[in-house]
Amino acid sequence: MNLDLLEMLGSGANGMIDSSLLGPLEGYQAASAAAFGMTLMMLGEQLDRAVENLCDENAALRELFGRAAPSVGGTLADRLERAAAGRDETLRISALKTVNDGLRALLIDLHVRVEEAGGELADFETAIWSELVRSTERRQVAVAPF
Amino acid sequence: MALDAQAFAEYVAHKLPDASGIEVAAVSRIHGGASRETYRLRLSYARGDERVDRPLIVRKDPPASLIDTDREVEFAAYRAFRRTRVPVPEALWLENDSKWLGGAFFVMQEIEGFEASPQLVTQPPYSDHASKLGEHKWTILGEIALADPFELGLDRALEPVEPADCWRRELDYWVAKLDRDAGSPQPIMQAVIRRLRRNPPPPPGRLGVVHGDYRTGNFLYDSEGAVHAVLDWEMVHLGDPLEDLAWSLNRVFHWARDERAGGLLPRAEAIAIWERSAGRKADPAALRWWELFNTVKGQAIWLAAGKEFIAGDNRDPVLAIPGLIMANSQDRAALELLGKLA
Repeated sequence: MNLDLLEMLGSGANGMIDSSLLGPLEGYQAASAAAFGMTLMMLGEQLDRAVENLCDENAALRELFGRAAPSVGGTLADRLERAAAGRDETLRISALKTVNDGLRALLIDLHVRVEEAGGELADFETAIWSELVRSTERRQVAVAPF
Repeated sequence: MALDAQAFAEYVAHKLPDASGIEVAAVSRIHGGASRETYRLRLSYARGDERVDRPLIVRKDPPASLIDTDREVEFAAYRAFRRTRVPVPEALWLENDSKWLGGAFFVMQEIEGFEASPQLVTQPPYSDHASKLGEHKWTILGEIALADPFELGLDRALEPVEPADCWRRELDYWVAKLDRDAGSPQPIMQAVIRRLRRNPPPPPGRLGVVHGDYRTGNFLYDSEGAVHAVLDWEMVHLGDPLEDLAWSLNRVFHWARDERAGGLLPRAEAIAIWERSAGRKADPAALRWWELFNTVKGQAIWLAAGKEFIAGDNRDPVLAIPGLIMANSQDRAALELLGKLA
């Protein structure tokens, strides 16, 4: 048997929301169970996309760092080059997330350098903002208010 | 954790030594309000020949909360605004001794029969009166902006700040919280913070009272479009009233998922109502600074909530949801304010 794990998670989430999983609840307990069902539902949505999103984002950041390294100089250039040469060794979400955190921290350092340089590195500032917009599109949640 | 009705009855006996026949009934916890555990109950007792029956709210400090708050400050705000046109429930007792209920708490009047849900304003019959509710909401916020903290005595309860330092104090506080609780790098927020520090806002003409969390969801309303009580004053502080206006306009509170702030009114209308009520213009550049600041404050709150849930300090599901729903929306709100969204 090969169960669909996301469907199983969704079924459990629905059971929390409509009270069929825990039986009749009232007041605070009912509201908390429904809220946690919503949480599970959103986790399912995010888990379904997590590997693809993290791989895409890590690749996009490496590509950006590879282009920026020759223009920024100094130790930052070395760090950017090393990061650009990296690759995702596994598709485990936890490992991809650790790599992603490191790349996003380096993106902050690059952004600071680009801002300090002014017009000279303006193209990279545009590229950084474009990537940041894409990062929020990847993380978009269906029920989010915005 | 739960509220012990017998222990609360003993506390009432301590507070009201003339009362007899004290009964505490219908104790139930209210969902939400993650900064404190909130309970409703009915208190009845005899005083002389009179039988008193009061619906009450007890706000009790949880093991961990969504926001670092000071119950004494919140209590002082309820007391102070009770003397104004801003509708608030009557605050009765503040208790810092944990021997009664296992933690500090305060007690206030329950105003019954109204809604607080932010999502409900988008549904009939409430949505039929969204404009009227918005008019009332931002009129009251203007009245808060108009309030003199010194006349209200709130300068003694709230931490002092020079008008020119309002922005820096708030920004430093929320940046520190974000840095402590974010759990992962925040490139959008860090860019916002750099921009805020490079371009500080002008100081307010005079210090005002800032509610700190004035949004749809933190006041009681009816189905005819009237606000009956402003709640959740735990983040009240002295500062620039534009901070409150900006928070009320935060994109993440557009509950109807359209252009209406707070699910009620378009931004320009909300600002115009506030200006009429507050008797002052909202400087567009300063307001924009505070809106951008509030994306940092919001993000710090949403991510701290998720961190507390994960750490197990507080497993209320209401703490899990903001990190999932609001955090990315808050980043997008910042991008929109910076003109980066297409």
